[in-house]
Amino acid sequence: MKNNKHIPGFKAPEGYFENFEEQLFLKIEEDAFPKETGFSVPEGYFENLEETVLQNIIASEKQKDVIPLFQNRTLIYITAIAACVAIIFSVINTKETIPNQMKNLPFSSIDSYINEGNLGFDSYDVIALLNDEDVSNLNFETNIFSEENLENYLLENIDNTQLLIE
Amino acid sequence: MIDEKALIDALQSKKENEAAFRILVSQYKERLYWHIRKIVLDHDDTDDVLQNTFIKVFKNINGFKADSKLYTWMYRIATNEAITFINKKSKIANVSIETLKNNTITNLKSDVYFEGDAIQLQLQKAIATLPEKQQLIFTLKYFEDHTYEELSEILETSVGGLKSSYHIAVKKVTKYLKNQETF
Repeated sequence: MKNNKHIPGFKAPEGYFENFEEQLFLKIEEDAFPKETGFSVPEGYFENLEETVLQNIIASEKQKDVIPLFQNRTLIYITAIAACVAIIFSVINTKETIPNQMKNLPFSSIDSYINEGNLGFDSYDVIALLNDEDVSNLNFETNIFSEENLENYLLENIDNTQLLIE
Repeated sequence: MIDEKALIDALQSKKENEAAFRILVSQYKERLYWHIRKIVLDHDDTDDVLQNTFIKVFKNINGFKADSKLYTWMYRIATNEAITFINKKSKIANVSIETLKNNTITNLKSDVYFEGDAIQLQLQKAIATLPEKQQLIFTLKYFEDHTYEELSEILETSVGGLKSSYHIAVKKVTKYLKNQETF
């Protein structure tokens, strides 16, 4: 069978015939896939879409528009005076209210505030600020660890040799 | 159908832009919807992405230089918006994109806007196993009538790269479906 008879001037891409079977079987397998996705849309969804899109554009444009707060100098002065008065009042009120607010803060919140590193120093630094009396007044919950748990913890975490030396 | 050049001119003119934009939305809403839906799968999410796509088109139309076709440019915006949407959603849910996609496919069974049969659902599951870029290439090539040249412009990838990615994706999908005894 003559299989090398070419049309002069024409040629096939390199490797075309070597990969032909593979490409063909791939195409056959691909043809077996479902042709549709199975997705549908709510009834009438596309009918008013132009209007909805335009409304959204107008809404997003409005969000962008910034109305100047200060229209004239008088308004600036009034605002500045009002701000000063507000600051003075807030400072006076703060002096009275902060200790009361602190009293109402739960210890767990303070604890997590410190543990999260918001204070700038850790729980060891906080303990260093306490004197002996403060430490002895701390109300430790001693019953949360069972004897068994304590024993297991010591067995797993304490170096026996080190313990004997001490 | 209005000539593309005339439509772009009208979109870029202050007097006619709103009317022209209505025509643009009317011409492309369904095509872009289905393009996005195949990427994000859920109808409500698709609606969000479609709205954002048209808003971006409207806001950036004056910067459109007609280096590419208008529809290619819009498809590119829609694709980017869909990908960004999925990434944001996975970050908000604090899960990987793969998990997010798998969850969405699991939810398809009870989705009133999914009327597919078991094989169509399996195909979606098979697509979800592909790497992100291959998912995109497979979905857009298999379910849409884009040529490799058009896809090359939309996805900004070479035709050769697209062809090889598509063939690899088909092989993987076939393997998955055979393992699941779908075929």
